[in-house]
Amino acid sequence: MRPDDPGISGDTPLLRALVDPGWWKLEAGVARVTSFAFTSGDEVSCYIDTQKRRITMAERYPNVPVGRFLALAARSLGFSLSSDPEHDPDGSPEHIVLTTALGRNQHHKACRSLARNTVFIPFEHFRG
Amino acid sequence: MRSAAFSPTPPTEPDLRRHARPRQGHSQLTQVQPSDISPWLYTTLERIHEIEKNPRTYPGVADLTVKSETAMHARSVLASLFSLDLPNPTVTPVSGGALGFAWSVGTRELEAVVYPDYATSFILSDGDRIIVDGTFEQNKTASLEEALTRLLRE
Repeated sequence: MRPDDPGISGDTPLLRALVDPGWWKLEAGVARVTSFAFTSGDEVSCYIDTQKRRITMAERYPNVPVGRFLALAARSLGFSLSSDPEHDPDGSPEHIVLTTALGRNQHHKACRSLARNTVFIPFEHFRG
Repeated sequence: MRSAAFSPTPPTEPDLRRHARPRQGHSQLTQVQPSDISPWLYTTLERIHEIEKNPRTYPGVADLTVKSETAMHARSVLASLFSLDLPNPTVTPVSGGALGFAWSVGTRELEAVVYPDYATSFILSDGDRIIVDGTFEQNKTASLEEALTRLLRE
Protein backbone atom coordinates (compact mmCIF):
# COMPACT_ATOMS: atom_id res chain seq x y z
CA MET A 1 0.00 0.00 0.00
CA ARG A 2 1.36 3.42 -0.95
CA PRO A 3 1.24 6.31 1.50
CA ASP A 4 -1.74 8.60 1.15
CA ASP A 5 -0.96 11.98 -0.39
CA PRO A 6 -2.66 14.69 1.72
CA GLY A 7 -2.10 17.09 -1.16
CA ILE A 8 -5.03 15.41 -2.92
CA SER A 9 -7.92 17.12 -1.17
CA GLY A 10 -11.14 15.29 -0.37
CA ASP A 11 -13.19 17.29 -2.84
CA THR A 12 -10.90 16.36 -5.75
CA PRO A 13 -13.03 14.74 -8.48
CA LEU A 14 -11.48 11.62 -9.97
CA LEU A 15 -12.21 9.77 -13.20
CA ARG A 16 -11.99 6.05 -13.81
CA ALA A 17 -12.15 4.95 -17.46
CA LEU A 18 -14.65 2.09 -17.77
CA VAL A 19 -12.74 0.15 -20.41
CA ASP A 20 -14.67 -3.11 -20.07
CA PRO A 21 -18.44 -3.44 -20.59
CA GLY A 22 -18.59 -5.46 -17.38
CA TRP A 23 -17.48 -2.41 -15.41
CA TRP A 24 -20.92 -0.91 -15.70
CA LYS A 25 -24.45 -2.24 -15.97
CA LEU A 26 -28.03 -1.17 -16.32
CA GLU A 27 -29.95 -1.37 -13.05
CA ALA A 28 -33.66 -0.57 -13.34
CA GLY A 29 -32.86 1.29 -16.55
CA VAL A 30 -30.11 3.36 -14.97
CA ALA A 31 -26.42 2.86 -15.87
CA ARG A 32 -24.33 2.18 -12.78
CA VAL A 33 -20.68 1.46 -12.24
CA THR A 34 -19.94 -2.05 -10.94
CA SER A 35 -17.42 -3.01 -8.30
CA PHE A 36 -15.35 -4.68 -11.04
CA ALA A 37 -14.25 -1.20 -12.14
CA PHE A 38 -12.40 -0.85 -8.83
CA THR A 39 -11.62 -4.41 -7.82
CA SER A 40 -8.01 -5.20 -8.45
CA GLY A 41 -5.36 -7.71 -7.74
CA ASP A 42 -3.03 -4.71 -7.49
CA GLU A 43 -3.59 -0.96 -7.89
CA VAL A 44 -6.40 1.03 -9.49
CA SER A 45 -5.57 3.92 -11.81
CA CYS A 46 -7.65 7.04 -12.18
CA TYR A 47 -7.19 10.68 -13.13
CA ILE A 48 -7.96 14.04 -11.60
CA ASP A 49 -10.93 15.45 -13.49
CA THR A 50 -9.88 18.49 -15.53
CA GLN A 51 -11.08 19.70 -18.91
CA LYS A 52 -7.68 18.97 -20.44
CA ARG A 53 -7.66 15.48 -18.96
CA ARG A 54 -11.11 14.76 -20.37
CA ILE A 55 -9.91 15.66 -23.84
CA THR A 56 -6.84 13.43 -23.47
CA MET A 57 -8.88 10.51 -22.17
CA ALA A 58 -11.53 10.89 -24.88
CA GLU A 59 -8.82 10.88 -27.55
CA ARG A 60 -6.99 7.97 -26.02
CA TYR A 61 -10.06 5.82 -25.37
CA PRO A 62 -12.87 6.85 -27.70
CA ASN A 63 -16.35 5.57 -26.87
CA VAL A 64 -15.29 4.55 -23.37
CA PRO A 65 -17.57 5.86 -20.60
CA VAL A 66 -16.11 6.99 -17.29
CA GLY A 67 -16.98 6.87 -13.62
CA ARG A 68 -16.57 10.03 -11.53
CA PHE A 69 -16.09 9.99 -7.77
CA LEU A 70 -14.56 12.13 -5.06
CA ALA A 71 -11.26 11.46 -3.33
CA LEU A 72 -13.12 11.68 -0.02
CA ALA A 73 -15.36 8.75 -0.98
CA ALA A 74 -12.36 6.55 -1.73
CA ARG A 75 -10.50 7.56 1.43
CA SER A 76 -13.51 6.98 3.65
CA LEU A 77 -13.60 3.39 2.41
CA GLY A 78 -9.96 2.69 3.23
CA PHE A 79 -8.16 3.59 0.02
CA SER A 80 -4.96 5.61 -0.11
CA LEU A 81 -4.49 8.01 -2.99
CA SER A 82 -1.14 8.92 -4.46
CA SER A 83 0.12 10.59 -7.60
CA ASP A 84 1.78 8.18 -10.01
CA PRO A 85 3.19 9.96 -13.06
CA GLU A 86 5.50 7.01 -13.84
CA HIS A 87 2.63 4.85 -15.06
CA ASP A 88 0.94 7.48 -17.19
CA PRO A 89 1.89 7.45 -20.89
CA ASP A 90 2.56 11.20 -20.71
CA GLY A 91 4.07 11.22 -17.24
CA SER A 92 1.15 13.24 -15.90
CA PRO A 93 0.92 13.91 -12.15
CA GLU A 94 -2.86 13.84 -12.61
CA HIS A 95 -2.53 10.06 -12.79
CA ILE A 96 -3.61 8.82 -9.36
CA VAL A 97 -3.49 5.30 -7.99
CA LEU A 98 -5.74 3.83 -5.34
CA THR A 99 -4.17 1.28 -3.04
CA THR A 100 -5.41 -0.39 0.11
CA ALA A 101 -4.23 -2.66 2.88
CA LEU A 102 -7.72 -4.12 3.31
CA GLY A 103 -8.13 -7.88 3.20
CA ARG A 104 -9.84 -9.43 0.17
CA ASN A 105 -13.32 -9.45 1.63
CA GLN A 106 -13.22 -5.89 2.97
CA HIS A 107 -11.56 -4.76 -0.25
CA HIS A 108 -14.34 -6.24 -2.36
CA LYS A 109 -16.99 -4.56 -0.19
CA ALA A 110 -15.11 -1.25 -0.34
CA CYS A 111 -15.00 -1.48 -4.14
CA ARG A 112 -18.73 -2.15 -4.22
CA SER A 113 -19.40 0.88 -2.01
CA LEU A 114 -17.12 3.08 -4.08
CA ALA A 115 -18.86 1.93 -7.26
CA ARG A 116 -22.22 2.86 -5.77
CA ASN A 117 -20.83 6.30 -4.95
CA THR A 118 -19.54 6.78 -8.48
CA VAL A 119 -21.46 8.61 -11.17
CA PHE A 120 -21.59 6.95 -14.58
CA ILE A 121 -20.87 9.38 -17.42
CA PRO A 122 -21.56 8.20 -20.99
CA PHE A 123 -18.81 8.97 -23.48
CA GLU A 124 -20.95 11.43 -25.44
CA HIS A 125 -21.46 13.50 -22.28
CA PHE A 126 -17.97 13.01 -20.97
CA ARG A 127 -16.11 14.34 -23.97
CA GLY A 128 -17.98 17.65 -23.48
CA MET B 1 -15.96 -35.68 -7.02
CA ARG B 2 -17.17 -32.11 -7.25
CA SER B 3 -14.15 -30.36 -8.65
CA ALA B 4 -11.72 -31.05 -11.40
CA ALA B 5 -8.91 -29.27 -13.16
CA PHE B 6 -9.60 -27.93 -16.61
CA SER B 7 -7.12 -27.53 -19.40
CA PRO B 8 -6.48 -23.96 -20.54
CA THR B 9 -8.09 -24.78 -23.88
CA PRO B 10 -11.83 -24.49 -24.55
CA PRO B 11 -13.88 -27.21 -22.93
CA THR B 12 -14.08 -30.34 -25.01
CA GLU B 13 -17.14 -32.52 -25.06
CA PRO B 14 -15.48 -35.08 -22.76
CA ASP B 15 -14.63 -32.24 -20.36
CA LEU B 16 -18.20 -31.09 -20.33
CA ARG B 17 -19.54 -34.59 -19.94
CA ARG B 18 -17.41 -34.98 -16.83
CA HIS B 19 -19.01 -31.85 -15.36
CA ALA B 20 -22.53 -32.46 -16.58
CA ARG B 21 -25.37 -32.82 -14.13
CA PRO B 22 -26.37 -36.44 -13.59
CA ARG B 23 -29.76 -37.25 -15.04
CA GLN B 24 -32.44 -38.07 -12.54
CA GLY B 25 -32.51 -41.71 -11.64
CA HIS B 26 -29.05 -42.32 -13.00
CA SER B 27 -25.82 -42.71 -11.13
CA GLN B 28 -23.12 -40.11 -11.61
CA LEU B 29 -21.20 -42.64 -13.64
CA THR B 30 -23.98 -42.92 -16.19
CA GLN B 31 -23.14 -41.64 -19.65
CA VAL B 32 -24.79 -38.23 -20.01
CA GLN B 33 -26.12 -36.45 -23.06
CA PRO B 34 -24.99 -32.99 -24.26
CA SER B 35 -28.38 -31.67 -23.22
CA ASP B 36 -27.45 -32.44 -19.61
CA ILE B 37 -24.55 -29.98 -19.63
CA SER B 38 -25.17 -26.87 -17.55
CA PRO B 39 -25.66 -24.14 -20.16
CA TRP B 40 -24.25 -21.45 -17.88
CA LEU B 41 -21.05 -23.41 -17.30
CA TYR B 42 -20.46 -23.98 -20.99
CA THR B 43 -21.02 -20.30 -21.78
CA THR B 44 -18.85 -19.16 -18.89
CA LEU B 45 -15.94 -21.41 -19.81
CA GLU B 46 -16.08 -20.11 -23.36
CA ARG B 47 -16.01 -16.53 -22.10
CA ILE B 48 -13.01 -17.23 -19.83
CA HIS B 49 -11.18 -18.70 -22.80
CA GLU B 50 -12.00 -15.62 -24.87
CA ILE B 51 -10.67 -13.27 -22.18
CA GLU B 52 -7.56 -15.36 -21.61
CA LYS B 53 -6.69 -15.44 -25.30
CA ASN B 54 -7.35 -11.75 -25.92
CA PRO B 55 -5.29 -9.81 -23.34
CA ARG B 56 -5.90 -6.09 -23.31
CA THR B 57 -3.77 -3.34 -21.84
CA TYR B 58 -4.90 0.24 -21.43
CA PRO B 59 -1.90 2.41 -20.50
CA GLY B 60 -2.71 4.60 -17.53
CA VAL B 61 -5.93 2.67 -16.82
CA ALA B 62 -5.56 -1.08 -16.47
CA ASP B 63 -3.81 -4.23 -17.55
CA LEU B 64 -6.56 -6.77 -18.24
CA THR B 65 -4.22 -9.65 -19.02
CA VAL B 66 -5.40 -12.84 -17.33
CA LYS B 67 -2.72 -15.45 -16.86
CA SER B 68 -3.47 -19.03 -17.84
CA GLU B 69 -2.96 -20.15 -14.23
CA THR B 70 -5.65 -17.74 -13.04
CA ALA B 71 -8.01 -18.77 -15.84
CA MET B 72 -7.42 -22.42 -15.03
CA HIS B 73 -8.13 -21.84 -11.36
CA ALA B 74 -11.32 -19.95 -12.20
CA ARG B 75 -12.44 -22.90 -14.33
CA SER B 76 -11.79 -25.20 -11.44
CA VAL B 77 -13.82 -23.03 -9.02
CA LEU B 78 -16.71 -22.85 -11.47
CA ALA B 79 -16.58 -26.55 -12.26
CA SER B 80 -17.21 -27.27 -8.60
CA LEU B 81 -20.54 -25.42 -8.98
CA PHE B 82 -21.64 -27.41 -12.01
CA SER B 83 -24.69 -28.89 -10.33
CA LEU B 84 -26.31 -25.51 -9.68
CA ASP B 85 -28.91 -24.34 -12.18
CA LEU B 86 -27.56 -20.81 -12.56
CA PRO B 87 -28.22 -18.09 -15.10
CA ASN B 88 -25.34 -17.05 -17.33
CA PRO B 89 -23.03 -14.73 -15.41
CA THR B 90 -21.33 -11.61 -16.66
CA VAL B 91 -17.64 -12.52 -16.95
CA THR B 92 -15.25 -9.60 -16.69
CA PRO B 93 -11.50 -9.10 -16.51
CA VAL B 94 -10.49 -6.78 -13.70
CA SER B 95 -7.27 -4.89 -13.07
CA GLY B 96 -4.28 -6.86 -11.92
CA GLY B 97 -5.16 -10.12 -13.65
CA ALA B 98 -8.27 -11.16 -11.75
CA LEU B 99 -11.59 -12.41 -13.16
CA GLY B 100 -14.99 -11.16 -12.05
CA PHE B 101 -18.31 -13.02 -12.30
CA ALA B 102 -21.77 -11.62 -11.63
CA TRP B 103 -24.98 -13.63 -11.51
CA SER B 104 -28.29 -11.77 -11.34
CA VAL B 105 -31.71 -13.06 -10.30
CA GLY B 106 -34.35 -10.37 -10.06
CA THR B 107 -32.94 -7.57 -7.93
CA ARG B 108 -30.40 -9.86 -6.31
CA GLU B 109 -26.86 -10.25 -7.51
CA LEU B 110 -23.87 -12.36 -6.60
CA GLU B 111 -20.45 -11.01 -7.50
CA ALA B 112 -17.38 -13.20 -7.24
CA VAL B 113 -13.78 -12.28 -7.97
CA VAL B 114 -11.11 -14.94 -8.57
CA TYR B 115 -7.67 -13.43 -7.91
CA PRO B 116 -4.29 -14.50 -9.31
CA ASP B 117 -3.21 -15.72 -5.87
CA TYR B 118 -6.04 -18.32 -5.91
CA ALA B 119 -8.21 -16.46 -3.42
CA THR B 120 -11.87 -15.78 -4.22
CA SER B 121 -14.13 -13.15 -2.68
CA PHE B 122 -17.89 -12.91 -3.16
CA ILE B 123 -20.82 -10.70 -2.21
CA LEU B 124 -24.51 -11.58 -2.41
CA SER B 125 -26.60 -8.41 -2.40
CA ASP B 126 -30.04 -7.02 -3.05
CA GLY B 127 -29.72 -3.41 -4.11
CA ASP B 128 -27.75 -1.58 -1.43
CA ARG B 129 -28.18 -4.42 1.08
CA ILE B 130 -25.44 -7.03 1.43
CA ILE B 131 -27.02 -10.38 2.28
CA VAL B 132 -23.84 -12.38 2.72
CA ASP B 133 -20.20 -12.09 1.76
CA GLY B 134 -17.11 -14.18 2.13
CA THR B 135 -13.73 -15.21 0.89
CA PHE B 136 -11.95 -18.51 0.48
CA GLU B 137 -8.67 -19.94 -0.71
CA GLN B 138 -8.09 -22.47 -3.46
CA ASN B 139 -11.14 -24.65 -4.13
CA LYS B 140 -12.93 -24.42 -0.79
CA THR B 141 -16.10 -23.30 -2.53
CA ALA B 142 -18.73 -24.44 -0.02
CA SER B 143 -19.51 -20.89 1.14
CA LEU B 144 -19.85 -19.66 -2.45
CA GLU B 145 -22.10 -22.57 -3.36
CA GLU B 146 -24.29 -21.79 -0.37
CA ALA B 147 -24.49 -18.12 -1.37
CA LEU B 148 -25.40 -19.04 -4.95
CA THR B 149 -28.09 -21.37 -3.63
CA ARG B 150 -29.50 -18.44 -1.66
CA LEU B 151 -29.36 -16.29 -4.78
CA LEU B 152 -31.59 -18.82 -6.52
CA ARG B 153 -33.87 -19.54 -3.57
CA GLU B 154 -34.66 -16.27 -1.83
